[in-house]
Amino acid sequence: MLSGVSLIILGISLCFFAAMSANQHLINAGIGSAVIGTVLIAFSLSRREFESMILPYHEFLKEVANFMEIKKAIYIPPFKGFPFGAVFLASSDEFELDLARIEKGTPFVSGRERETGILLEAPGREILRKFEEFAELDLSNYGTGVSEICSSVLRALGLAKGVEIVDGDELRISISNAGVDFCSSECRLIQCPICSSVLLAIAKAAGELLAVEELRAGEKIEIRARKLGGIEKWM
Amino acid sequence: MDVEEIIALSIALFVVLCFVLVESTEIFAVLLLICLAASLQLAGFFIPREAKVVLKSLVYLLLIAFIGIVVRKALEVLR
Repeated sequence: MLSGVSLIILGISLCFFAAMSANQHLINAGIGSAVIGTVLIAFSLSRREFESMILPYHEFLKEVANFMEIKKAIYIPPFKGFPFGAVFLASSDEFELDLARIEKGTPFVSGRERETGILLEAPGREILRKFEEFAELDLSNYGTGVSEICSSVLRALGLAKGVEIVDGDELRISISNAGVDFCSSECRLIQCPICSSVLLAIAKAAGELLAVEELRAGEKIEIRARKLGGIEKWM
Repeated sequence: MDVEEIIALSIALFVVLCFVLVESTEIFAVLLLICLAASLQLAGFFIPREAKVVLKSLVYLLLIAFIGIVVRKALEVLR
């Protein structure tokens, strides 16, 4: 974008000086520079195809989450009926989850206020399959080394430049140059397939449930997540 | 390299080549028009909608310049 604007400014200046000195070759240089600048800006302004495809679904999920007053997203590693894991969108911060009671095919989980929410197969599950195809192994209990697999696959697919995971008291995940521009702090509740795939991969690799605490969208997407223990704890 | 990057690079290369080979501003402008119109026609499928709008505006601008050049040449011939 910046280089495009610089080229246009350079082109206009060249045309101006060329007109002053009646130099035809310099006018050509000015016009050419302005045209290249405009082409660069045109391509940098364009929304990427991936974003155009997923944005309507992402917005729909956000509307559903708003309607259901979702408070937290919890990523669940694979368990019965969900071979690639799932995401539980809890309606309460103090949620209660009984995985033994959950069945595939009933996305709306009812019960007491703390138990209600939506259970979805995570939007990033197909990308998670790509992670496993690439690594040629099952990511279960792989550990935080999964960040390298995520980075390689997302970079190859043109969806992000890199993924870093810092495992401390909390998990800190940063995703650089994600292939979408609509990221915001609201994505703490509903994640796009890119963030979702990384969170799902970590949940599977750690073998623990993950609660997304915070998501900051800036130059990098920074996610703060908390480990909630293994599947057995929630059965 | 993405298809979009290849298209942008091809247009840029063509512009540089025209700049090196062509002296006349009128011919240069007409060649730019041909380059952009051909790119839109041949690679339109791979060009995102937002970029297409900008490129089409540029083509219309160059088309106006082309009409100006043709009218001027016609007037020169008529005189």
